[in-house]
Amino acid sequence: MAILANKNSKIVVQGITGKTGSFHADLSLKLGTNIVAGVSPGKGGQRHLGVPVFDTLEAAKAATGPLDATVIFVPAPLALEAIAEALDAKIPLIIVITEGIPVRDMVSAKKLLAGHESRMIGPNCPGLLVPGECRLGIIPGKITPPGSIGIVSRSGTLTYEAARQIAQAGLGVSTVVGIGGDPVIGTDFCQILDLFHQDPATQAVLMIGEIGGSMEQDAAAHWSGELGRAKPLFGLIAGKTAPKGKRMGHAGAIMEAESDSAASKAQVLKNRGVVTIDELTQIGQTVLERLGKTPAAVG
Amino acid sequence: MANLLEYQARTILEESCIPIPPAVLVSKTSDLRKIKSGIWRGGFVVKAQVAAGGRGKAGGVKIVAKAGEAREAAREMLGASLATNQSAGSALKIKQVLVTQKVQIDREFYLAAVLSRKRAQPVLLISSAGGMGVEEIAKTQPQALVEIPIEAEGRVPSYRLRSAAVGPLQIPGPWINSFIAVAQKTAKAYWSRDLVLLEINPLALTPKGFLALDAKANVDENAFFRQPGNEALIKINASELTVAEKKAKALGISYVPVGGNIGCLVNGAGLAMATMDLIASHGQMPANFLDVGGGADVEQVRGAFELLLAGDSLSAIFVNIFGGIMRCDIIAQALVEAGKKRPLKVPLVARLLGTNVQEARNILEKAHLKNVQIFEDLEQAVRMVCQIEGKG
Repeated sequence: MAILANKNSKIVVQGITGKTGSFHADLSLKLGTNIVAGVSPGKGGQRHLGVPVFDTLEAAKAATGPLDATVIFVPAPLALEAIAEALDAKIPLIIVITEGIPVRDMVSAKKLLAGHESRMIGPNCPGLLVPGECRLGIIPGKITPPGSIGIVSRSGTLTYEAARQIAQAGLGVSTVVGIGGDPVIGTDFCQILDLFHQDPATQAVLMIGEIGGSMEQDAAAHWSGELGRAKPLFGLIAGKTAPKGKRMGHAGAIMEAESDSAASKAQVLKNRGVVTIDELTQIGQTVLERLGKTPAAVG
Repeated sequence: MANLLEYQARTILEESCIPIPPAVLVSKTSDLRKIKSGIWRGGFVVKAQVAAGGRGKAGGVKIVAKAGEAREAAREMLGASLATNQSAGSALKIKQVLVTQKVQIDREFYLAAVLSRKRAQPVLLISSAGGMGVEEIAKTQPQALVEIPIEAEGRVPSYRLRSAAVGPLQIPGPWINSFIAVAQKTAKAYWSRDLVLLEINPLALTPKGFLALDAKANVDENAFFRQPGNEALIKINASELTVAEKKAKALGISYVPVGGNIGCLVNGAGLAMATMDLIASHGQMPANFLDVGGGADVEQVRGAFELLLAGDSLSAIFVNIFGGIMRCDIIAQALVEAGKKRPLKVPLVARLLGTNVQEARNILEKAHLKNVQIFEDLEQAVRMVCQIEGKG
């Protein structure tokens, strides 16, 4: 069990013949991900990595039947168009890996999403990994065995580091979700916490946040309020040494006020009862100590 | 996202038909003669053009009565350096001075178009407490700050602005329509120019109507493909950057100096931040944020190493690579090449993990680099680099 996708999910890749799209679709296929179609304008009719390629999503859908998720790798100037196409094709889950999309295009994408039932994850994110089942994006596939810890994060390699430490502690992961490092994103921490809350396979959640915005504080309030702290929540906030007003790599990682500094976020999390991890090297150890190596945690 | 200078932001206002006071831009001493007495009524405001707030308090704004005094003030500023409380500790060179007409101000407002991350859409922030910073307004008189969402294509319904005008903003009846026009034009310019901030502070109400006395703009660099004008403006300002920042920009890597003495090179922004925090929690201070990214090649990583090696204030360098898409052998090869150009004078501790880590070890061993130590365990690596620092 996992959230958002599993080994049976029928996946399409938008931008499958591009350098990045092709590289990662190949790795995902090797991990058993059920990629049934690819879209690449002008390349319809070809096969790429053994997957049929179509000119449009509509054509892909007509040939393969309903699709469960799309993974978008198209270049940033074309991303808004690709998202609109996915919404038109009524694909329930849209994962946008593309980095460097203008803020204005994401504001427009959010407006479009409001009129549809689809969920968007990203952009500028590593996507989704269900260990042992499927990989929608670019997360290293063999980083952790399946297990009962859910991971949700705004970053990439920091998330992989966390997953690896959890695996090293002898535990495993139900699903890794990268929600992206941009200021405007499709799905926030609160929504992913809801999904982990409902997922019987997930026993505890690790939330990896950073400076900028107030998503982490909102999620901690939601967890300690509506979700009744039903499953333990661990939190790590990166950027304690980041100076004010400077963008730290991610477009959304900028401390604009005291309230969105790492220290202030970590304090809010602590006050809400979140187990706050202060040091990068202590992730696996902290989770293990708190949960114990129970059969449930190992999964 | 990069800041424009005030005179550049004024051109955006001008193109949007938002009223601004007359001005003379001084880029070289010969421009000074354009400041003639009788050029306009009233006095002169002389403003240093630097990309940081807090100019007034730092002496970057002077108000004088006569043209001769304005010329003198502008001459003094031109070429001088200015450090403000928002310039991150460094002094910025003043390359242009803007001299504007001093106007009679009846009231001052704050008006800005800015992204609201909470709403996932831009908003207009408006306050009758103009002249002070928005953070200060939010802290001292939050009730005075009006927030109105900006809709698609930069539209703001006029009825929303009208209620704000007659309500909290208390704008006099005869000026309500021109206020609405300025606010709508600001929102439109924000959207159509792909800005992430357009701030007018103060927006002055003068006996003759509204005037934008100061402007700040920040452009979305990701939209350069459709905003060549913005790209051109930012290119002009590139000379404001330090050598290291320029080099990082040219290489396409994220680099932010923060002032400590352990140089950092990491793949991934989140991991880079967390690595800096880890160094700090071990009692030392990181010198910089540096994310080489996921898909960097040998040339980019070599450039990143060269950038760090060029800094003479470093006492050690810490490399943290979680190899996935990024291969550890690329890091090793880049380090060897950079070391040929400029020998490694300080100890370098590398934590290498994942893809091709053995190849990386072989490359470094063959090169017989002194001063380099490799670890797989992060805790061991960070302890080593912080201990080295302590001895030095």
